[in-house]
Formats: sequence, structure tokens, C-alpha cells
Amino acid sequence: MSDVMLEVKNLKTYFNIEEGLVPAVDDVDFQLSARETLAIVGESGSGKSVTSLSILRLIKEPGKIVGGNIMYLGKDILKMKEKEIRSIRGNEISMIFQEPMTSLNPVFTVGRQISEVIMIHQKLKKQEALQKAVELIKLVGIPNPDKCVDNYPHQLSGGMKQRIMIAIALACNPKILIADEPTTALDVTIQSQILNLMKELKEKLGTAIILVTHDLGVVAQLSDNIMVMYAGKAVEYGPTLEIFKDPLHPYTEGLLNSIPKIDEELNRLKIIRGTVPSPFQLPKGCKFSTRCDYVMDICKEREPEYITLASGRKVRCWKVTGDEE
Amino acid sequence: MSTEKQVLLNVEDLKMHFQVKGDDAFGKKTALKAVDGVNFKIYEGEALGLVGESGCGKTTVGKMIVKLLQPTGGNMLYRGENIVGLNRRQFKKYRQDIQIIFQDPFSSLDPRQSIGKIIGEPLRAKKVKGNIPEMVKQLMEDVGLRQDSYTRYPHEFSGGQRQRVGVARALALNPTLVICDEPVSALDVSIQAQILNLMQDLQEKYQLTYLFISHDMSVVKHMCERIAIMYLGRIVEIAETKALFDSPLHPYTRALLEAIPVPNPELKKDLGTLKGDVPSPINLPPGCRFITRCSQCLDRCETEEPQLKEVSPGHFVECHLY
Repeated sequence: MSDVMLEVKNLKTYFNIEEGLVPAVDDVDFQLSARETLAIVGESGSGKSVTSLSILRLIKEPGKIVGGNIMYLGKDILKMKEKEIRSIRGNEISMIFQEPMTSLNPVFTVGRQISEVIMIHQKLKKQEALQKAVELIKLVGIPNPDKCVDNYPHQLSGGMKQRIMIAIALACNPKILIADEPTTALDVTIQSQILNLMKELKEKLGTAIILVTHDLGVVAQLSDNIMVMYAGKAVEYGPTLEIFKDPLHPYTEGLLNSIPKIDEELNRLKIIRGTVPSPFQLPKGCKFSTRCDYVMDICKEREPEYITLASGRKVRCWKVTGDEE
Repeated sequence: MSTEKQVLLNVEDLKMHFQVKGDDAFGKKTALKAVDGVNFKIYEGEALGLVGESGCGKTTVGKMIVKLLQPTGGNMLYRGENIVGLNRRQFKKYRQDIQIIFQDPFSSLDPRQSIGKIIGEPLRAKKVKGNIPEMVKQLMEDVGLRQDSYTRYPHEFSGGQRQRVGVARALALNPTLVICDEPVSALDVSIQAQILNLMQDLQEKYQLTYLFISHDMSVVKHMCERIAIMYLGRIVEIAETKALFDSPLHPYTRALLEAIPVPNPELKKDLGTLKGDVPSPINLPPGCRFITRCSQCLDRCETEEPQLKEVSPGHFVECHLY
């Protein structure tokens, strides 16, 4: 594909904490094209948030990006100087953080927080930037934008705060928007408003979106492609339609089976047995082998490679690798 | 089906008004109507779902039933006896019958007590005769905890394991009615499925009655025979699960159902169009509470508060459209 905007290769982000070295993200590869929505799916601790933070180099001590490349329009983000990355962060690649309740600064008005981004990146004067902030607030669907710019975060509801976060993220018309669990803290009716808004923005502005979430309903409705992560590794990648129809990795299959479906009658939920292993006691071989229903001898010995199938889908599983050979 | 069943708990016009500081500069006290006249029945052996958005009062209802909060109005008839007026001592005989599983398994367990102690506490408080450690071990087995967990502490367990401890503690005294307040919302999906299955098994084994409080429609649909929808302190619709999903009546119920993202990419749909946020329960609109977000309001909705009425057998709705 020619319009690849972001290419992540062999990304490794490790956390060196007292108890030992935690490979939070271990050898993750993916690509993002213009106008694409990629969903990164996984349970807590699977490394999906760390992956998205790594893209903007927002990993703090004791975490460290120890390997790989993140190519943004042909340039490696990991090799950029601090000044260079700062001109991209919030400008060309921006992020919506998980918790709208804690991500805004309580002592500044939302107008000031939105206009700050505009003043820094687009070098506009304060008045012009505030004017643009009003337009953005209008764009994200908040009534009375003129009044809202002068409000402090505590005067707004959760859904409104999340819209402000989106307005900040969109302030400089980013080429890539990273949304880390953008609706997890919100009620369903507010969630649907935010999701519709993101769909609209994608159509209007052509923004590429990386959607980090554990909610498979949101994934199904919004994404074009899915990357499934488990214990720091990418275990499956492919188009959303195909993954939902025919999951290849047993973990993906387990995830899809374990959600109560609103459109189906089921007496019992199928479960994935056990729990995510502790990062200090990761099994040898395949990381999912301790919970897998199809586990074979080889799974416990050797880690499967992340292979690309003829269809373009990718998977890390001996069951599939064995069938291919 | 449910008409032959016995009513276990009958909640009538239940109210919980909190006194809070008002918005004005003098901080004059005003009433926050968290629960404002709620009516429903729980039949023996069923699972009733209570669904609503944050701040609608669903947790407050649960807390009033276990008497963690004293209602400011209304009645709760448990097997015919009104439990609202009872003092602590009088309520004691019901306390073991009505138990609660809390939402957050990370803050609802005492970090300084071992798992065995936590689960055994209700037994000791009730001065149950017999070998308490043995009973605790039996409970642990019921909820799928390993025996060697007995002497371990909550921090050593994952969220799912802790929620199992919460379930075991609630079941220790052989309750009849268990209030489940968002028991799986803090858990990962794969663990959520394990706990839901466990709760279904236990319901069957011990003939439990559940009041299942949740914001997640798909979870409630999976667990419950009947569902009540709450909005701003009122129940706006109650029906059997199938009826509610097949023919939702209240505009709010319809909006809620539309807003759920279906985990099937072939069914991409326009996610609901419900505008605005839930208004504050301090300054309620005079007529129907849903009027600020409703697309079908009539003139009378502005002035007259609708009452819950039975539209078809077992299907109640509180809306002027019907």
C-alpha cells in the first residue's frame, strides 16, 4: 500500500521494575494507512495502552522503548530529537486519553486548554486561538460553545469532558488520532454520541484512527482492521469482518465467545479458563498455552512466529503455522 | 410464568432524598432526589435486572434493600413484612436473608484480613455453630477458589478471584435474595464470563433470587428473566426480558437499546441519536423527567408526571405515549 502513514516494526517497550523486567510490549508490528481505523484489542495488561503511548514516546521511567522502529511518513519517531517529536505530538499525531475526568487541568478553563494547543503548534494569537476553540467545541457537538469555553472542567459532565478531550486532540487537524479507551468511562447513550462523532470526523477530515479498547462491540462498529494483543505480543491481525467471522487464534476465538451477545440467545457463556499470567511468570513457548484449549506439546516448548498468511492476515499460533506447512 | 410465583420483595414508592448544598452562594440545602418513588416486585427464584446510566439511582436502590441506607419514604415488604421501619436489632433476622455483592472487588475486601477470615466473618458475626473453617472451605470450593487461598490476603489475588471471594462472603449465610451491584463491570471480558457462569450455577444450586444491577444491557439480558429500566430516580419500564427487547416501549429504553454497539461488524448500524446528558437530579423538570432528551414529547409531558401503567400483562411503562 502506498498511503502507509505509520509503520511500527518490532517495537519493544520494557519496564524495569524492582521485581524484574516486564516486557509490556514485545515485538509488535503493524501498519496504519490514511483513513484507516485500526483497533488494538486486548485485556488489561496486554500492552495495548503501552503500544499507543510508545508511538508518541510518552513512556516514562521505569519504562523504556528498547527496540524497534516507528516510522511516521518515512521518518523514525524513535530517532527524532525531542524538539522534533514535540512538533508532531498533539499536532500531527494526537491522543485522546482514557479518563476524561483526570486528563484535564482543573484550574484552567477548557477554552484555554484547547487554545493552548493551537497557539503552540499553529502560532496563532490568543484571541484567534480562542475563536478556533469555540469552533472546535461546536464541532464536537456541545451546545452553547460560547459559554462552554469559559467553563472549568468540574462544571462539565463526563461526556462533555470527553468531547473537550476530543476537541483538544483535533485542534490541529491531526493525521493520526490515537484514542485510548475513549468511551470506557461513559454511559452507553453518551458513548454512542462520541462514537458517531468519531465516525463523522473520519469521514470529514480523513483522519486515521488507532482505537485502543477492550469493548468488542465498539470494535465491530468502528474499525476496519483489528490487532489482538496478549501478554505483550500481537497474536492476530486482520480485517474486522474476517476476524469476527473466522478468528484464527484461540485467544481471539475465546474473546469473541465469552461476551454475552445482545443479538443471540445463549444459556451459558463459553469461557477462557484461567487468568492472564503474571508478567514475571510468563510460560515458556506460547504465552497463551496455559489457557488454550488446543494446546499441543510444541506450544509449551517454542514460541510461535508471527506469520503472514496468503490472505494478508497475520497470526501467532502453532495450530495455524502447522496447518500452513 | 412469573404470575404463579411468590412475591419475595415488594417495593412501594421507595424514596431516597439526600440533603445537599444547593448551587447558590449561601449553600442553602436542597434535596437531591436520587430515588424518587420506585415501585417493583421481585419474585422468588428469579433474576431481576435493574439497568440505567450512572447517577440514575440504581445502586441507591440496592443499598436501601440491604439497609445500608435508610429510605426517606416508601415501603419495602419482604415476605409481607415492612422492613423499612425496622431498627437494627429487628432487622437482624433478615440480614442473613438479604446479602449484597459489591461492584469493586478492589475496595470491598479488607486488605488486612485473610481470605478465610473475610468469608468466615458473616458466620462468626451470626454465631453459627459448627466448624467454621470447614464451612468456609466448602464455600471456597463452591465459588472455585483453591483451598490453599484460605490463608492468603486480597492483594495476592486478581480482580476475578477477588470477586469470587465477594460472592462466597455473600453466600456464607445461605441468603435468599442477593443484590448484585455491577458484579462484573470491573473485570476483563474473559473473566467476566467466568463470574457470570458461576453466578448462574450458584443460583441454580441454592435457588437464589437476584437483583442484578448493571449498566450493561447485554450482561443483564444474559442473566435476567425480567428487566427494569431506571432513569433519574424512577423506573420507566419493567418487562420480561424478551418483551423488553422485542418491543421496547419507553423512548429511553429504545434509545438505550439502539446505543449498544453490537459486536458484529456485519450489523453496522447508526448508533442511537439520543441527544444531551442526564440532567442533574437536583433541579428536575416539572413534568416527565426524560423530556429534555425525548424526541416524542407531547404537550402534557411538560406539566404532568407520567405514572407507571401496565400496557400488556407484566409489561409496565411510565410514559404519556401509552
